[in-house]
Amino acid sequence: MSRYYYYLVLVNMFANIITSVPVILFQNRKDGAIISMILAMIVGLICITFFTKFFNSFPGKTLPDMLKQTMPKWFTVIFTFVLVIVWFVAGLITLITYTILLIRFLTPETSLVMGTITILLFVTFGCFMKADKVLYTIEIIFIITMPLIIFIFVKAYLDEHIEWLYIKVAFTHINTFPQIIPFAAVLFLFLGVMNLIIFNQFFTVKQTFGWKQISALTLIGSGVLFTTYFIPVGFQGFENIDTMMYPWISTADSMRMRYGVIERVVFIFLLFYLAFSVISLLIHWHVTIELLKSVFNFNKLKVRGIQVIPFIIITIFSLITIIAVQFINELNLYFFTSYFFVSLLFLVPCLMLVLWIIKRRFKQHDKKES
Amino acid sequence: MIRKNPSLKKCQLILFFLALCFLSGCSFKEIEKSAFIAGIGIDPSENSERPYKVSLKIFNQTGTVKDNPEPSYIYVSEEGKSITDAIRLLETKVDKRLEFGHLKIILLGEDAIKELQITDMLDFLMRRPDIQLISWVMVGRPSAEKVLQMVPETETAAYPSLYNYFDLNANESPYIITTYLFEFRRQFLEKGVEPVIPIIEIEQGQFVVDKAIVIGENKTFLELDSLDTKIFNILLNRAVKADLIVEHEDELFMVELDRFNMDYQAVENADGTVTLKITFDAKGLITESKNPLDVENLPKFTEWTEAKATEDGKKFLSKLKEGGFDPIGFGLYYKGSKLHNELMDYDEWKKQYKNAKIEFNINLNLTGTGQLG
Amino acid sequence: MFNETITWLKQQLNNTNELTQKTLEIEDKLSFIYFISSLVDIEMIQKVLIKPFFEMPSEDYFEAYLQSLPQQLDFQTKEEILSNLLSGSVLVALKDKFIILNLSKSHVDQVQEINIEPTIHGSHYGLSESLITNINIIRNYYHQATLTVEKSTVGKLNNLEYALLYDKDKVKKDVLKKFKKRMKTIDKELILSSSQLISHINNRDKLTSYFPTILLTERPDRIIYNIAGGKIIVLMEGSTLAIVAPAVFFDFMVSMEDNYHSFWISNFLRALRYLGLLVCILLPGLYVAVTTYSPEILRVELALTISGSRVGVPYPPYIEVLFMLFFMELLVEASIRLPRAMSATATTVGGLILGTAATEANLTSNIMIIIISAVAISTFVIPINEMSFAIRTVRLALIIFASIFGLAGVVLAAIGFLMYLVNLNSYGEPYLRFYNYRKKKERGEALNE
Repeated sequence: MSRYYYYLVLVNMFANIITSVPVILFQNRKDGAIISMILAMIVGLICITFFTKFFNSFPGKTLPDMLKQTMPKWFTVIFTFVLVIVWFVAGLITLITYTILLIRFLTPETSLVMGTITILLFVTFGCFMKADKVLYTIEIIFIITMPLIIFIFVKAYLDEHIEWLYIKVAFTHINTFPQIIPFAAVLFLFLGVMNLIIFNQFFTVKQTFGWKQISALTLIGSGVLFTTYFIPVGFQGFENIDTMMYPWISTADSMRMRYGVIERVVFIFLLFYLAFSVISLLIHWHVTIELLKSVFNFNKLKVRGIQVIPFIIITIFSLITIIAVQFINELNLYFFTSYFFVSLLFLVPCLMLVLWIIKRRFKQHDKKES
Repeated sequence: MIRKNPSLKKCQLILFFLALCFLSGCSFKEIEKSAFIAGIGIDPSENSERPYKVSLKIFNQTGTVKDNPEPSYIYVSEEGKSITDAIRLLETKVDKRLEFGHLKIILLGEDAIKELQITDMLDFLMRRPDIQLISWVMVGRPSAEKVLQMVPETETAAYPSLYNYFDLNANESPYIITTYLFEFRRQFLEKGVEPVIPIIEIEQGQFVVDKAIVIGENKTFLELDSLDTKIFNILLNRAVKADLIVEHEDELFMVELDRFNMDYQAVENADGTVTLKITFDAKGLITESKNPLDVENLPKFTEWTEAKATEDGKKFLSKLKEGGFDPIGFGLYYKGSKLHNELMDYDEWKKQYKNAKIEFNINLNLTGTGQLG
Repeated sequence: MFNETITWLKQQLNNTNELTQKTLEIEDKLSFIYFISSLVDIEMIQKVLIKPFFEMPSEDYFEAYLQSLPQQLDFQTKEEILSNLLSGSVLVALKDKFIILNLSKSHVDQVQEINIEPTIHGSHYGLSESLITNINIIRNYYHQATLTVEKSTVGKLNNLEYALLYDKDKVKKDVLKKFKKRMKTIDKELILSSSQLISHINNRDKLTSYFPTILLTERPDRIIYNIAGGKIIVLMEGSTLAIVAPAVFFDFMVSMEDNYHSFWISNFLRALRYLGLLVCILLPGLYVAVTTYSPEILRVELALTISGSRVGVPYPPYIEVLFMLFFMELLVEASIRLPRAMSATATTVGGLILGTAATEANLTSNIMIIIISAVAISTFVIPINEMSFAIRTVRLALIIFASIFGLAGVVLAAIGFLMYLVNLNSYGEPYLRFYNYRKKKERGEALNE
């Protein structure tokens, strides 16, 4: 596969491991977190295979294109709108989580609205870029931040203060029945591949996707999951980790670089993860915008030759975000995120069904032509 | 489309100016307007209405380090209903903004841990996002405030000398136990392991850091004297090097141990009793001796040293075991050794732990007798 | 027709009084020559024209001789005759026929010493102000039949000649087409130098093109390097700078010396340059963010040192930084404008005395002075001047965001800057992406072989 494909998948995995996903897992640490993780990983890999195989068989085509060709108009519009909402909310959650996090830990003096506007300013600029430019940006940021994030993970594993006994204790809860919310949360990590519904236009050449690629993703996926769940346990203990609001931030704060320029790892971690969540946000909102573009004709509404619709979209996005930021606190956010994850459990099968129908109709079409 | 949509540019321009407008409303503190706190001390007060007495040690920075090379601090203390309450009152005593970001020393008074709720203190320390989780927790004797206010003569500006004991850059004595705040929290809250924190005493204008205290459940405490502290450090592999005095008949020599490795297990026997197994490997070198030593007798010396180490270790372990203290984490080991639903319940475990058998295996490897024969 | 043309020419050049007419006459041979004396090489006229005229047996011989001269130029209209006369040609009227010979004299074909992009190794001489000489230099360095030179003129009034150079096999066809189209659309009366040409090439997106998407260079080795990389070069008459297009971000970070050093050293220097770039963009912003929002990121000693050195400074850090940056920029500008002998004085007065005095007077902290000097030095590490000009202004934006949103603001603004660069195009080539343009070309070639 093209390396850009991996960025799409990996960004979603890495960007979410420090936010609500581990919190949800720790809430359920005594009832089925581990089994949920394993199950979600298997299902997630199946999803990855399904989506990749599907879009690979239509190189360069986006989902809206295909919907237009095969589905009735009313269905296309409604379905696109559902997708728009899902992707917008996915981005919104990342944005709100991160704004709250930054203001809590880095700049307590800044107002929430101010922080949100600053992030919005850059993200709205970014998500109107073309797909290839978005991917180039992702690549550069990914390559700059990845080594440091990996370094912090490795440092965590080798730290003398990580206590593997806690991890062993966490393992002893393997024989509990899986739960739906942690399952959905972990599944979300693997759904980065769904961004192909728009980004497929970049992959105009048929790619190879076989066992090698799947096993690579399995390896990375399990590594990421293990890190997400067990590193904080190793640092913060097992019994009371659910009382922590930000287990990963605390874990990063528990590491010390004795000879580093910056002694406290947590700041490096926060800043580099900020870059990571910005690109995750960029991907999600780029997909949202492109989906909207497929429904509305941006050239239709013009005032003095200037397109008005992008203005309206940006304004709506910003307003929703700014209002949401003020109403949502950390507890709300937790429930909000959980509901979002669970709703994905309905959306993913629906999307798969639609894709299956599309594939069948294309086949019928081909048969008729031949 | 090569260039961007012109409408977007304008939109961003508007947003940008919007952001600029907020610049007027942005609030920040300047670095010289904040007072960096070096350490916090928590003591019980005599006033039962306001049980917490919080003392702060604040860097007094009136110029560059070059201008005033002597360490200079401001000390303030205040009583309050809670720690936060006391901090609020303290804020009125200092003209600058209190900045907890550089706080590294958390001193709990000896009476504080016995009389006040440790959970409350932990709650305060963990809840504030700006307190480092890698700050050091320690017990001050006779009180946190006294230890906090002590400035030994060796202290340099901008780096309190207590830091040197714990930051692993300066002092590597085997008598010093370093406990980070996050370690203290996890051990305090988790069943099956108990936190050990160092005790700081003052003696003739210098700190003495060679004892430690185990904080057990239900307000039980066990003080470790310097020998116990050293053994604990060696057992948990926290010390880099340690010495052992071996006496046998009229021979007396010192062994310097290094590269130790300890492996411990808690095994549940078929009859429900518990055996604690410890395997200890180390390398050693004889560094001092009363009588001349013969290298050929090295196996004999090894045997004596092993006997001595086993004796010390067993003594230490039984002391812990009989008091029901478990700073090493046998309970945790036990919890991780079986599936969670197959464990005996916790009270039962405590009982069994007190009566557990100890198996202490030691493998010493004396590599030589130093440069003298 | 013959006389008409002559009268017309005389009319056109009436005011100059410079049109010289000479009549050559002996026995039955008659010829007139016209030229503008200040433009032509008199010795050459004497050698090439006058001497043979008197030695030739007949007019026919002389005409055949003239037609065979390499300096002979073709022409169609009388306007062309005029413009050739104005560029230093000699018009020979012989038997009702015109022959034009280019016998121009140029004082500007000397090769100039390099002073904008100096290197330790590598050539110390750049281009000259004569187009012919420059093409000559490049042909001498690059012996390939595929090297194509297309000459044309630009500027309605002054008709300045320029040459488009590229390697036919390596250049991207669509880029070339786009570039030529852009050159044709330039609708200006006067074009004086290649730097001016650049601003007109970019004319259409004046507001958005903040970063240079075209490179100006005076080094022949850089020109060759870029031709080999499939780029288009524009050389102009009277200009020692060559235009290189399309240029992507990484092209501006290449120093020619990278190719002259051993592997590790050139990589070290490259890393140093990128580090310098980061420092000069990020450092002022980081200082503002750290001192106003998160001093806890620093080690205790450093936090206390900064805090101590800021005691008594009346302004918040972002004003302090802007203030010092302002003076630094003034200093840089001043030392460019001043004659070389005096610019050293300016730097001494500005840098040393002002810096020390500012800290003594407690207007800034001494940490600030260190930071500003580090920033100033690292700006000059960027090999191409235009890039360092652009970079210099970017950091101002970073300072603003740092004072709004602290460290997060710096990171966000840096990402925004990155997105801006990625979003730029230089003739269809993405301006910034991980694999750079030339490398991609090389890989493509390797595949073809």
